[in-house]
Amino acid sequence: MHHTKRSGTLILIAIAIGTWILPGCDLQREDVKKELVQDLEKAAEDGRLQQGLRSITNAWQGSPASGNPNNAPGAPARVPQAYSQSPTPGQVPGQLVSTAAPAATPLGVPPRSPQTILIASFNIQAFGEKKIGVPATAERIAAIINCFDVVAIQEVRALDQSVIPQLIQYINARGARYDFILGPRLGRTSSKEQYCYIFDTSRINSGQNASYTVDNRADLLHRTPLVARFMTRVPQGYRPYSFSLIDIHTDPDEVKLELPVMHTVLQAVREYEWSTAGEDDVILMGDLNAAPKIFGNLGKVPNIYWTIRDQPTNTRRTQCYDNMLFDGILTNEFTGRAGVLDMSTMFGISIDEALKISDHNPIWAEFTIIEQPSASGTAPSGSPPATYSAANPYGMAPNQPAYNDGQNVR
Amino acid sequence: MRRTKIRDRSARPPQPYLKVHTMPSCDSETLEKCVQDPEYASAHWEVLIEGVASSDESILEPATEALENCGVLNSTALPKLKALLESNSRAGLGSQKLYWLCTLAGRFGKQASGLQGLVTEIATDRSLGLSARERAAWCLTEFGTLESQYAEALKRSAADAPDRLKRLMELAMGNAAIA
Repeated sequence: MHHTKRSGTLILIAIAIGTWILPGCDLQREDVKKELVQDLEKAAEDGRLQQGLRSITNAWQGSPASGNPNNAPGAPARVPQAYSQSPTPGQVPGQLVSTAAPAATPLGVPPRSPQTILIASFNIQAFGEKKIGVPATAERIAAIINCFDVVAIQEVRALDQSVIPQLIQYINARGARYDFILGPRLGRTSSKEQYCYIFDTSRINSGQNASYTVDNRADLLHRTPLVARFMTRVPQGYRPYSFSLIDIHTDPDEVKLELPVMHTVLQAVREYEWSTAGEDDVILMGDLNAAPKIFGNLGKVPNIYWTIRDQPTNTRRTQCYDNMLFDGILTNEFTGRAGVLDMSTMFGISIDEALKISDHNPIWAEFTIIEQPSASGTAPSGSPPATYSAANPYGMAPNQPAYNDGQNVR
Repeated sequence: MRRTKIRDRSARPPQPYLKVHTMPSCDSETLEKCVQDPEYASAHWEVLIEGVASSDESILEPATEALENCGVLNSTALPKLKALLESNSRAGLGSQKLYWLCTLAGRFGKQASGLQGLVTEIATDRSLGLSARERAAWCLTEFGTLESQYAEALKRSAADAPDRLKRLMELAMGNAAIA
């Protein structure tokens, strides 16, 4: 990783809202790194992590191989090349992770594994006091989140800022240790929405100070994306997988205006993450209100890969709204497994009952828990070209996660 | 013995002064149904429009959510939309309601292009909230056509409009060229 020391970066990079924006992202990165190292050392010292890894590894190695159940015929091949170079925790050196897949659950979501993490996106339709006030609904939402290591949430709608802490109580009720990052209230009407990340602190490190809102001075998006940085917790000697997530919920009425700028959002954040933190794994995820066939320029970003191809992601199973996109070459931590978690199947309930949870099903994807070697030391292909800053009509300095409307707004 | 005369009420002619406009109420049951069933929400859009102006979060949030998801209304709703957007009734509506009325109008696309005069008035009315004006301008972009006098009005207003509003107005003016 390389670090670009720039004073006052924050003033330039983001709309400062609340206390969760720090006055310097490179400084905050150093702090996060220091904290991570301390946490990892502590985890390695107490030996619990390795013990757990060993017991699960035995079961893992006996599992049958499986392919990617998500990829449609003709989809780009997802065979990570670098796995044999760097064994994941508990893995026999030389063994390919992708050929030792765990048995799939009836839901298609792989069980939690010491070698991989599961990242999900979930639009919990109008999540507020009402939903958290119904224990059955809150418990189901918690059960869903418990399936994953990191969940990017859309549509937190509540004046009462205790709804997410209340949800965390449900999630942690059985001893889990999840935490959250909550974004600012966003929206053009009196009804506001918040993005949120919920992550399992026993496997993932992050914090409020590792997040920022993308610059939206030009007001191109109704709900400005929330970016957060994460890093896996791994035993000593392993290189943690670090990644940045962009949580987005487009305005369904303005998809035609917002989708055409989405590729610049992705590229601007990638450029910023690379230049300030050496981060090459940037994943844009959320409710795009759009199927891949209308991605336009977002779908043409070099090496772009999206995990949901033709599956419906809404609870009624009629539309593909949600997705997860990243560089298919650089993010070679992706194991090839991804999909949609059908809530009605998970809980054995009718679609009408599932709709009480949300009108969206969660989507998920699996990644290795360690950073893969080929991803380091390489600038993100498809990152903004040298002319990017000069072409930026909003006068932003280089390396800022601002985006432009290019020539794609009709 | 005095006999009580039973009157047949059903036979009485309707009396105008007794007429009450019955708007379904924003009760939680209706709102809940609207959130879960877009078709139901579409049929109860007037209730939802009332709901978005509420300061009560338990009404505002589900009403907003339901309007976001209810899709295109039945075309029979157009005259009512027009009546609400007309200046006489518009005064008391407020920005929140206007925002959503313009959203619903815009979803009709070309079918609602007859409302372009009314919507242009909203887009160019500086006394209204910016979000309502922006949504009105967005609505004009959805109509796919714009008569020249409205394009002129937009052009005048766009000159000193905030960035986003200006951008949307310019997009709408593009429709005038197409028309």
